Amino acid sequence: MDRLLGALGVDAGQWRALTRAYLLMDLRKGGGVQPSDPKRRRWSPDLPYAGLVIGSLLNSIIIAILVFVLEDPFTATVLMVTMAAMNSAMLLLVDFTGFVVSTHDYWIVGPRPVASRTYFAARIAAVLVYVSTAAVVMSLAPSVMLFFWHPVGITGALAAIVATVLCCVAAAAGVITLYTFLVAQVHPRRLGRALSSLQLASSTLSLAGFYLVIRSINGVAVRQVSIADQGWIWLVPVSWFASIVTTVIGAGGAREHAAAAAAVILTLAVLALAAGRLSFEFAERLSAASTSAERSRKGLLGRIPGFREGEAYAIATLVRAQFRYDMRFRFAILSIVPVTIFYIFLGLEDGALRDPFSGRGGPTPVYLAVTLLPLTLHSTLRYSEHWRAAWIFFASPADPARLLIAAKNFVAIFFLGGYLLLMSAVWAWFYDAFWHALVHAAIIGTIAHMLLQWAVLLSPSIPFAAEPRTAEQSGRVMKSFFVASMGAGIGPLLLPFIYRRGWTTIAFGILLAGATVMLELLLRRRAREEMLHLEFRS
Amino acid sequence: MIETESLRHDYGNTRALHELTLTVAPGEILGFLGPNGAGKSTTVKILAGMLRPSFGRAIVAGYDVSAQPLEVKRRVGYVPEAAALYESLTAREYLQLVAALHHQPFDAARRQVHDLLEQLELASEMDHRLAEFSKGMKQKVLIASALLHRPEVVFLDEPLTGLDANAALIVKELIRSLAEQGRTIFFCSHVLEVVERVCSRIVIIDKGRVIAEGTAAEIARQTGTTTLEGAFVSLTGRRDAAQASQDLLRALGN
Repeated sequence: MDRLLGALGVDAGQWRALTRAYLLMDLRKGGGVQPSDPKRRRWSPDLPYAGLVIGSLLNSIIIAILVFVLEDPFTATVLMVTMAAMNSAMLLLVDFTGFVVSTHDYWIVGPRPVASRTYFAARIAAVLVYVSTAAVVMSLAPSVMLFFWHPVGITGALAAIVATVLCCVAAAAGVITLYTFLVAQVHPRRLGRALSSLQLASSTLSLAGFYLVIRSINGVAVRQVSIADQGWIWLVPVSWFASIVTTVIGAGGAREHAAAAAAVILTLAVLALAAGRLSFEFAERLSAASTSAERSRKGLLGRIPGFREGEAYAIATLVRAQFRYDMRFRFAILSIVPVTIFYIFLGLEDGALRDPFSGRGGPTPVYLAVTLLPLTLHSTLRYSEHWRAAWIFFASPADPARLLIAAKNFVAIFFLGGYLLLMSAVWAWFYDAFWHALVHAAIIGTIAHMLLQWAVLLSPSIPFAAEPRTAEQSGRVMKSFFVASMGAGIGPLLLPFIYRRGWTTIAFGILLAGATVMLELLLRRRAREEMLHLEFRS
Repeated sequence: MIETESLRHDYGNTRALHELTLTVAPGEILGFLGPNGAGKSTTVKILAGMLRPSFGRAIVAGYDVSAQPLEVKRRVGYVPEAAALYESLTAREYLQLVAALHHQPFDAARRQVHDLLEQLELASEMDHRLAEFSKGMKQKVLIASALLHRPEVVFLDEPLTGLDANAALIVKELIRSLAEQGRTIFFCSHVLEVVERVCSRIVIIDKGRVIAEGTAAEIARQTGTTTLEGAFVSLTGRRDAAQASQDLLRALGN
């Protein structure tokens, strides 16, 4: 190992020390606002990776179901590898400064005699441990399914895990290369905006790819879908990784062997490309980007009713500033946009944008976006790169419970409300009557708000007051995705009953309103209780 | 020792450093002063091998900072102004990481780290995470991490921040002892009384240019004042302090 590292120009001793330190740090809980009584910290495990493993396991089950449904093992493997790689790439895109480079590195490691290459090798090793952990967990259930339902044997199942890990590593290295290229090209002042655009563009592109694939297999029974004989699939690198399985079990020809070799070469090539880019200079530019902000525009916050003074004004200012300057927060919010557009297109294809008052409305992916938004918002609101600034909440006579409620209200009104306004415009276009769209938006919005209330009730926390830890937030997002999928799948089945008659709709509306008020009262009580026991740990 | 020749650095269109030329001999404690944004941190970053100068030459401990930054970093210790530490690590883990980055043998480093933390009165907290440390305790760890590998040149940027009076006294004595051993000390601080007492020579920069150089007494004499503080204000002061404080009070509504 030392010889290999030496040949790559990496100092083995320094690499080992740095990698060990980075992994140790990733495995530890961060600082910020926490309950002073250790017994109250029951739901904040000291292992951020636990969230990642649980989230990956949930995704693994979803992929396994798809692998079970498909008859063709190659198509199943392509799907498994694609979903895992997309997941890894998205996690890095959402949380690049958390996973790949810390803005503190420049000041801590910069003055030490550590070559850029050694620093990069240590950082990439920590990322690969993270990506590989997620990839292995995500490929577990689908591989078991491949073993039992497809003639690939134990070797094929193991090869599927290897192929998934390789593809995830290549995807991660690809993201690093893209990111570092942008960091080198764009002025630090405009970097935040440019990185958000990159994140949005890449997520839109990958979803567009999915959409095209779905369109191309339209009309074919899912079970019989097979892409092995389609010429175009060999232009898509994920098929090269899937070919590793075909090659290992001896089922492929020269084309599959060449594709498998190309997969390995591609992984090494992307890693080498990324290798030349991560350096201290890169860490320094990221550090500069986090401190040089775009010029702030004059806000209208002072004029918004309900957010004109006190804790509500403070929170509105904070959320707005976080959205403008915190890349992680901004992307978590904006990532809903391409997902929604994708789901609207899917909805157009399968007629799911039909008026639910007509009795034909059922589960549609659009609801997934609506339910995902409040859960994502809640998990994102918790963390900030500038978590140390939360001391101000403890040094001023601000009421922590009011802060928490104000944060919930602000995101509910401005993010969830804005989103529902957009959706009601879309629904108004497709539904039989304008008021159907409005009533439907109000009911869906209230349910989404209740989800947000529920999330805050279960885990009340002062906004932007916790240190972001590698994998912790991603784990939460993955769990949110699972819960939202369940809610969006089951909830809409009730819609035909709710909208059947006028009185049922009114009765359900009253029931929802009552439940929201109850939840709000419960939430306020819980918030006051919990906030009394918080302390700022820095 | 440190030698710079026409050192210049630009951040985009902004020139942070103009043709800086200075020499610091072994065993000398140089006080490097200047108002906020004068170019002190840029100079230190260049001399510590963390930033490439746009123009000019700097030799630190016998090595060119542009051509051989790793050789320079092996021989320098740096206490940055901001307490930049990996706070998820314990004090012991952090110092052992630093020792490993300087290629210190593991067992020897472990013993040394233990001794150092004991001397710094952090023995009982050595297995606590740095996130739990007070500002002064973090500063002690930063100082220890800068001196662990026995550097020839030491850059200290506000090294006494957060230290209590006893610890500050020990650090000041330590700086003098290091200089007596022949190490070069580059001392940046805004606490002028300390600079006056500790440093053998002082350089004041403003807007990236050297505006005064000499002992504290010489600089005071050059400016027609009696103290270093008076000299500093007369050289770099943009506003009258009494008037500025009155304006501030007015802004506060008093």
